[in-house]
Amino acid sequence: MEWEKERELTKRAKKGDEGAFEDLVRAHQRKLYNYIYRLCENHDDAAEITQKAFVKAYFSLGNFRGDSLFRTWLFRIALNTFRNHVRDEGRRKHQTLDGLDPPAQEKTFSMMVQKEERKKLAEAVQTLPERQREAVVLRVHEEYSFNEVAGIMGCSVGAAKASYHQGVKKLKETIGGDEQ
Amino acid sequence: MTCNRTDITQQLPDLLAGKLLGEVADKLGEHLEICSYCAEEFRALSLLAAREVPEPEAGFFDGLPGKVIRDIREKKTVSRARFRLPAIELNWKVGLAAASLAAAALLVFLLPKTEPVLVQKPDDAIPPISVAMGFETNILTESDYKISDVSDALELEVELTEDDLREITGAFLFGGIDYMDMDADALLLFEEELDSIPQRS
Repeated sequence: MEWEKERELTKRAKKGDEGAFEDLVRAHQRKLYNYIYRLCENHDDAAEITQKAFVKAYFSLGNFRGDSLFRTWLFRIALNTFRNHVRDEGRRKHQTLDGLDPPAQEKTFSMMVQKEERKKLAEAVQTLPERQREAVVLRVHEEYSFNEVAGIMGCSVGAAKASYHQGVKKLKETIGGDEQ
Repeated sequence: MTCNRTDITQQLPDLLAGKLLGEVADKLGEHLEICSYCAEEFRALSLLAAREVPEPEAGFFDGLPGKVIRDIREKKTVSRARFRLPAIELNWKVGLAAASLAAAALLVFLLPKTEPVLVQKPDDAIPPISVAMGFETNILTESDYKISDVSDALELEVELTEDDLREITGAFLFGGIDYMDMDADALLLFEEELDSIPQRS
């Protein structure tokens, strides 16, 4: 969505225009859902958290000043919603990872190895401590800079970098790439 | 085997995302050719980034915006119906002033005939009150006493400050937390603080 259009929609939504907010939801829902899914690996939780995050965002629009992108601000709310969800509900579920890979016909040996490694990595991401997982997902999947990662996580840039590096180091160990 | 070039490793996700061009990208590429540590990290990141999120059930994204709007409307309705506070929302100061005046007038009228009313202050022995109406959080009043409803406060004879009332009013009207007066940093801190409050089962 173009920045100008998004700004206009945000402005209207702030004044209570539900249609404008609905357009914002439509524009960001897939990205937000995918982000949350990568954190929890569970559709039901990802769907619930995504919905809750949008509702929270609507009631929080008053404090969105437009200093950052709407998506960055939304991700921050979503991450907070995710943290609350994990803590309050205690239901971090781990679904089988068999269904995570793309359904392409992968027949060559190297592709099978890659598939196995992707699966291992996906499992390993879920075993990372919360902050490390958040930093890795935001940096690698969502392609945020460390400044943005820190902003979303609500920590210093140094802490975001440290979480990221610790997380990546553990992931490398998973596929045998950083053994001592 | 390790590599101390954090300037390189920190940029690998950007290289992977195709955000780096020209000389910067070339330099990283050259480093990856001679450094197996960073090359392995780049490979791990590539594999990780290639992992796709499975598509949710058909119609999920078509239905989500409508669900969100429905939730928003429900929250607004529940808040207003439950607490009947639209007048306070519009002008709580006037309401508070009017209530104070009415209470003072009543007191003057009743004082000669009745004993003074004792207001019991909360103490640590009183357990926190659970969240009402499915709201996600309790309210921490200025007196460090948790309440979840104005009526709870009245029943327990807790004295509320003007700030307490404003916070409670906002929370009820906007579905849990008075986000409206908070910037993003304050919001995170506030939510973390609320998260740390033990909930009564």
